[in-house]
Amino acid sequence: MTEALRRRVERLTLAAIVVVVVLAPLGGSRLLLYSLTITAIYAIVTIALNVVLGLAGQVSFAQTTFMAIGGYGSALLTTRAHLNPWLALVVAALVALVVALGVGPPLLRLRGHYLAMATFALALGTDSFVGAATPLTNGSMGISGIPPLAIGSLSFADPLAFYVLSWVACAITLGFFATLATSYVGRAWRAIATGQDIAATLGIRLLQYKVLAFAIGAIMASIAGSLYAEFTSFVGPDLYDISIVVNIFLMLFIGGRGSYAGPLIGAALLTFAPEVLSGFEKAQNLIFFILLLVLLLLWPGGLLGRSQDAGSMADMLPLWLQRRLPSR
Amino acid sequence: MSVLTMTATTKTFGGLTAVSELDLRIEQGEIHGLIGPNGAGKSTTIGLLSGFLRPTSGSITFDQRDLTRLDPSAIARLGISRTFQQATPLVGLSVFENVIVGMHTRFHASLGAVALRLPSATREARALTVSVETILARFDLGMLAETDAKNLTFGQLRFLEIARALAMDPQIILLDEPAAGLNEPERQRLAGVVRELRDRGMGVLLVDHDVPLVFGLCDRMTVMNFGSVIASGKPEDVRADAAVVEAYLGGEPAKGAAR
Amino acid sequence: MILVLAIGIATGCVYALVAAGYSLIYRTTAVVNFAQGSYVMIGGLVTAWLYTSLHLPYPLAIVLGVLAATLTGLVLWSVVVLPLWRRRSPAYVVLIETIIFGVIASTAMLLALGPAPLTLPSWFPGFALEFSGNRIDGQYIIVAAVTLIALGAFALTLKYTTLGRAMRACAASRETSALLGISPERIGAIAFGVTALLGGFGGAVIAAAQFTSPDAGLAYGVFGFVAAVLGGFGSLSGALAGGILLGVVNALVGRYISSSYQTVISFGLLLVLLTLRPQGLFGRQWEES
Repeated sequence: MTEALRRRVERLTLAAIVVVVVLAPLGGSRLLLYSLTITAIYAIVTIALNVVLGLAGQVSFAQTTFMAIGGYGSALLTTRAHLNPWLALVVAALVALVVALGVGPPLLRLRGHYLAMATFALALGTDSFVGAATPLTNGSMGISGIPPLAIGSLSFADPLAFYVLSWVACAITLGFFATLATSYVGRAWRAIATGQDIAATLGIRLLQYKVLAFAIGAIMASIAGSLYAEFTSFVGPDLYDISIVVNIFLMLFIGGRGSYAGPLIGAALLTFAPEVLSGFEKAQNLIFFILLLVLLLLWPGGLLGRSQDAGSMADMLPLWLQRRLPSR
Repeated sequence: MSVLTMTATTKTFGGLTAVSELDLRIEQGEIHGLIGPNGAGKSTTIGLLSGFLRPTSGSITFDQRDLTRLDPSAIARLGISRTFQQATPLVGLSVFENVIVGMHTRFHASLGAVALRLPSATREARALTVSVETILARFDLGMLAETDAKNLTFGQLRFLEIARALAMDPQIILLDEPAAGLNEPERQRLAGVVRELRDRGMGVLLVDHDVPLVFGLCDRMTVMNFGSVIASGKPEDVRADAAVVEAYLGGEPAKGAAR
Repeated sequence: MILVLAIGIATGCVYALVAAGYSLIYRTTAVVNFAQGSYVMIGGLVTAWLYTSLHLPYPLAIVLGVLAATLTGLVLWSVVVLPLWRRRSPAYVVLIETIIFGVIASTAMLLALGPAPLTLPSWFPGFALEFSGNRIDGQYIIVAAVTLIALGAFALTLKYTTLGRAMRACAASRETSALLGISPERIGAIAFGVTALLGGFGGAVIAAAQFTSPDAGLAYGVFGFVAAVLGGFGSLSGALAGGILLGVVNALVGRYISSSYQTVISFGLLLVLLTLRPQGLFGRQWEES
C-alpha cells in the first residue's frame, strides 16, 4: 500500500488500541486485563528493538539480556538488598546502561551476520548464566516473592493499578520513540540503516550513534524486564530463553518494523495467540511456531511495515513460474 | 582561505599502483578539474581525499591538519563533502529527508533537548528546515520534497546528490563524475551550479569524463594517467601541453563518450 | 581424565559435523542455517525410537533415522530458505526463520516421541579400550572414526568431483555460477540435503554412546556454530579442529566445573571470538554477502 494509506491505517490502529485499552477494564475479565498488561510490557521491549533495528538497522538479538538485567536486578535488589522497588528499577536500568555502553562499542563494530550471531550469543549466554549461577540467581528455580511497586498507600499489586501503570509506561516509551524518530537523531539512524557509507560522508559518527540506539534500547528493555518481574513477583531463566528472543523479533516483524503501532500490534498478537490456540492443547506450541514461520515468510514487512519491506508473494516462486504469471 | 593538499601521495593495492606520487591542491573559491582516461586513478584520488582509502605513503592535509588517520565521517566534519559516482540517495527517505540528513552536522541540540522537545531544539529544527527548502528550490527539487528518493529520475538524483553534499555547508566539495548520464540541458544546469558553488566560496574538485565541460569550468586543472600527474596548471596551458595531447586528447574524444 | 578426553573428542566430532554443515551452507548459499543442530537430534532420536519402540533391525533404524534427518533438511530448504532466497530477503530474516524451524523441529519431536531421553546400544557391544586403568566405551572411538571418514569423504568430493567444483563455484558467486550453467538452487538443495545427512548420521552414531532428547538440537546447533567460528567459518579442516577443541573444552568444563556452565562458556568464547578474531584459528576473513 502507499505510504499515505499506510499512515492512515496506522493512525486508525493507534486510535483503536487506545479505545480497547481504555474500555478493557470495564469488561471485567481478569484474564483480558492480565494479557493486556503483558502486552504492554512486551510492547516496550519491542519498541526497544524498533529503535535498534527498525530505526538504526542494527540486527541485535540482545534485548533479553537487558530484560534479564532489569528482571533479576529488580528481584535481587528488592529481595536481597531490600531496596525500594522503584529504586531497584532505576538502578537496574542504570546497570543495563553501563553494560550496553560496555559491550556496545566492540559488538557494534561488527556487521550483518557477525553482529546477529554475537548478540544472539549474548542473549542465550545470559539465559544460560542465570540458570547456572545458582548461588546468585537461584538457578532454574528463579527468584520469587518480589515485593510490589507502591506509591504511598496505592499498591500496584492490584491488577487494575498495574494495568494502568504498564500502559502509561508503554505510552511514554512510544512517545519517546516518536520524538526521537522524527528528530535529527532518528534521521541519522535511518541514514545509517539505509546507507552507512553515505551517512559517514555526511559527518555522522557511526559507532556513536549505533551505541546510542543500543543503549536506549537497553534501558527500555531493562525497564520492561523490571516491570514484568514486579507484575508476576517472579523471575526465572525461562523468561529469557530462545523462544522469547525469537518472539520479540517476531513481534516487531509481524507488527511492522519502523512503524509506531507495529510493536503494539505485534506484541498483542503474540501475547493473545497462545490463548486463541489453547484449544489445541499439546499441539499449541507447535502450531504457534508454524504460524509464525509462515507469517514471516509471507509478509516480511509486517502488517504495518513500510512498503519497501513488503515482498510480493510472486517473487518467492521459481523464475519459470514467475514469467507465466499475468502482468509480470 | 582553506586548502586541501595532497603531497606525494601513493596508493597501492597489493601489487597494483593506483596512484603514484600525486600532488594536488584544492583551494576555496576555486574550481579544480581532474581528468584522465579510465583507470587513471581519479576515483582512487577521491577515495583518498574523503577518507575511504588510506594512502600507502605521502600525506593529505587540510589547513595543516593531517587527514591520513581520519575516517570518512571525521573528514566530513572538518568541512569536506563529496558525491558518489553512482548517484546514491538514501532509499526509503524522501527528498527532503535526504537533504536534511546532509545538515546533520549543523544540528547542535543535545539528546535531552530533543527528547523533551525543548524550544531550543524545535527552533533549530525549524530554522534548518527553512534552509533545506531553500536548497531544494535552488535545485528545482522543491515539488518533489515528499517523494521517496528512489522514484526520482536519473538527472534529479544527480542534483539531489549535490544538494545533499551542499547541505553540510562544506568548505571543499568533491564531485565524482557529476555529469555522467546527464543530457545537454542538464549539463548546462550543472555547470551553473558548479560555478555558483565556487562563487559562494567553496573549493570544488570536479572529476569528470566530459573534457570540454571541465575545461570550460575550471580555474585550474590536473590531468592524470596511469596513476600519475602528467600535466597541471591553468586550462589553457594544460590544453597546449604536448604530453597531454599525445596521451589523452589526441583525436579529441566526443563529448561524454567515455561512459 | 582419559575418559573425559574421550567423551570430549567424540562429542567434538559431532560438533565438527555440524560445524562443517554451517560452513558448507554458508559458502554455497550465504545463509547461516541455525537449524543445523536439529539434524543431529532427529537422526539420533528417530533411530533410537525406531529401534526401541518399533523394534526395527538396528541398521535399518539407522538408515531411516538418517533419512528422516535428510528429509528435514530438504524441507527446510524448499519451504523456508528457497522462497526467501529468491526474494533476496535480508540475511537476518532467513536466520530467524531457520531458528524458528529448529524450534518447530524440537517441538514436533517432543510431541511425537515424548520428552524422555532415548539411547541406543553400542555398535559392537563389549568393545572397549583399556587405557592405564580406564575403560573407554568403544562407541566413542567409533564416533570419531566414522566422523573422520565422513568428513574426509566429503572433503574429497568437494575437491575432486564435478559436483564439488560446482558447489565451490556457487560459494564464490551465485550469479556467475548461474551464468555458467550451474543451478544455484539445485546446489543449495544438495548442500542442505548433504549437511542434513551428515548431521543425522552423526546423531545416530553418538546416540549409541549418550542419551539424546528433543531439546538436544539447540545445544548441538549452538556448539556446532561456536566450533565453526572457532576453527574458521567456511573451512572444513577448521570445522574439525574447532569441533574437537570445543568438545574437549566442554567435557573438561562439564567435569571440573559444572555441566550447566558449558553453554555459558561456549557463548562467552563465541562473543570473544566474534569481537576479537572473527576468522577463528584457520579461517580467512569471510566477506559479507
